Amino acid sequence: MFAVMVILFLVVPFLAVGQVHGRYDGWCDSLQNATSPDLVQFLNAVVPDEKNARCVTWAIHQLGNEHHEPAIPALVKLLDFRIPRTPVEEIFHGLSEETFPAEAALELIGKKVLPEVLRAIEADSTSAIARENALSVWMQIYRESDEQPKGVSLLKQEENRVSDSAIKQKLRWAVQKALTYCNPPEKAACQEAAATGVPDKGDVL
Amino acid sequence: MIAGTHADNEGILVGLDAGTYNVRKATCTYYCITCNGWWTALLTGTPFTIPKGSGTTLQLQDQWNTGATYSLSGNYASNNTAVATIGATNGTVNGIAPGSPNFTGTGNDFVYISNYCAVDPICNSRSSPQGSGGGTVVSATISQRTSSTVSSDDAALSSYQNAVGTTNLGNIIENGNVRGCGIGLETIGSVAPSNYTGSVIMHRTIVNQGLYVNSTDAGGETPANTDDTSPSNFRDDNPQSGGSAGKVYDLDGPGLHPSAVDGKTYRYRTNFSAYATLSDGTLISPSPGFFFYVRLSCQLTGPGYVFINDVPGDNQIGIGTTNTTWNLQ
Repeated sequence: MFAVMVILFLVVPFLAVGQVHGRYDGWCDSLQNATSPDLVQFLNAVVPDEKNARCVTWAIHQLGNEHHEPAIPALVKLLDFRIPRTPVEEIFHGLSEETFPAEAALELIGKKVLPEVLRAIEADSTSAIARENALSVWMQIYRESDEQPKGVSLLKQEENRVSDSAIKQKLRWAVQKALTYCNPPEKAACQEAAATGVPDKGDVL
Repeated sequence: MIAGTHADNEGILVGLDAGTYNVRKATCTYYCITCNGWWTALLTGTPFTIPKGSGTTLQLQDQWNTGATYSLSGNYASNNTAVATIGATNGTVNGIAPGSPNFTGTGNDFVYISNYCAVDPICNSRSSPQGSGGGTVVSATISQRTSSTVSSDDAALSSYQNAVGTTNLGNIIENGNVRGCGIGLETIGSVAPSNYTGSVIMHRTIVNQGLYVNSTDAGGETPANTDDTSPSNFRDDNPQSGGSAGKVYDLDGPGLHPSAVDGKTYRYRTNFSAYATLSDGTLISPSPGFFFYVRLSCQLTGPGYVFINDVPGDNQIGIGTTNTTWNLQ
């Protein structure tokens, strides 16, 4: 037994690259052969619960990897869907393991999700968690292009533009929360953008 | 369609006026024709990005005035054979070292002449189309920081800070959105050439793992060789962001998050492999990877989370591998 363990211990590391299993491999055999439109249809129809949570996770992940733009509305609606975790996984996990898979999927799709994400930030029907996650996606997408201050300034412009006081309030929250996503080198520029909303070189939504 | 015997565009006699027909004039004057031939040349397959040690193939092509494109036999050359060589006749590139080499391919083909006039014009002039293009041979060296604070040019810094409540690396009591004992780590990919502007993604794989409550296997270990790559908000995939001049990052904090004051010690032993790829998944760091381990033991007590040091050598991160038993024996 010991010998087997030693062999495994020596051999397994050398398999690490090239034979890596996906994190969600085997999570949903029933959708394995589904097309992207099928997966969108599935997400549009599903009410996530304990039984289907792994399939929902798998479908979200798949659509993100495929950068499937027609999935954007469905993914935004699932921004507060949590990856199911066992009690053991709740205790033993890395810091950066995904909690909300739709966040990652939308970030993978990129800038085209921004209008729908902004609508989610503004909508009354959006849950508090989904709104926080929508803001996270918004700032993450601007971070990827090194434009965090632009992300803040566009939220501020939107706050200035809308007349509905309830939406204005949500955007005011979003602007302040967005500042916490700015990295130290960009903090000052972010704060200025939050204060003034001055467009940066013709930024438009 | 009327076409001449010499070329597509050739002067022809289309009519005769009434009168005396001058045979000499009709047969001895200059004709003007268009000679079809190449007017631009290019090297297909450029620009490219390949990992050091791998290759690609370039092909000389020219485009004719007719719109047709032809692949040509040619002679290929690299301007920097220390970075990449190219097969003289087959265009096969081998990436030797990081850098940005340029290549030329030279062939031979008919020349395009829009208006060629002669008594008996024949299109047989040839010249040497030359296509050129460059590429990048890229590689990444992986290292890790496990002390001090997250690098200021690491664009994932704020995500880390929001999660754990500090920018400190190494053993931390996590006090942000995540609560527990963790070991913060920053895995760094140093990309060469350092001015490379494409995305480079740091990946992480769980090679194997042991999870315990006191000395009992907790179950639920992640299967061997499972992808554990961080979501993008914990990565900085842009080698130029924040002035980092060729560095990409991955931040993580493997940890334990007991939910109750139950007197139990939770133990985490995991071997990881880290590697870097281009955005299309092409591996650019040494295979099989950069191996490191994390082992820690933690308990939630009345005052809060504490590291438990009852096992020698516990609560540390290191390069290489660890035994994954509860007592590290």
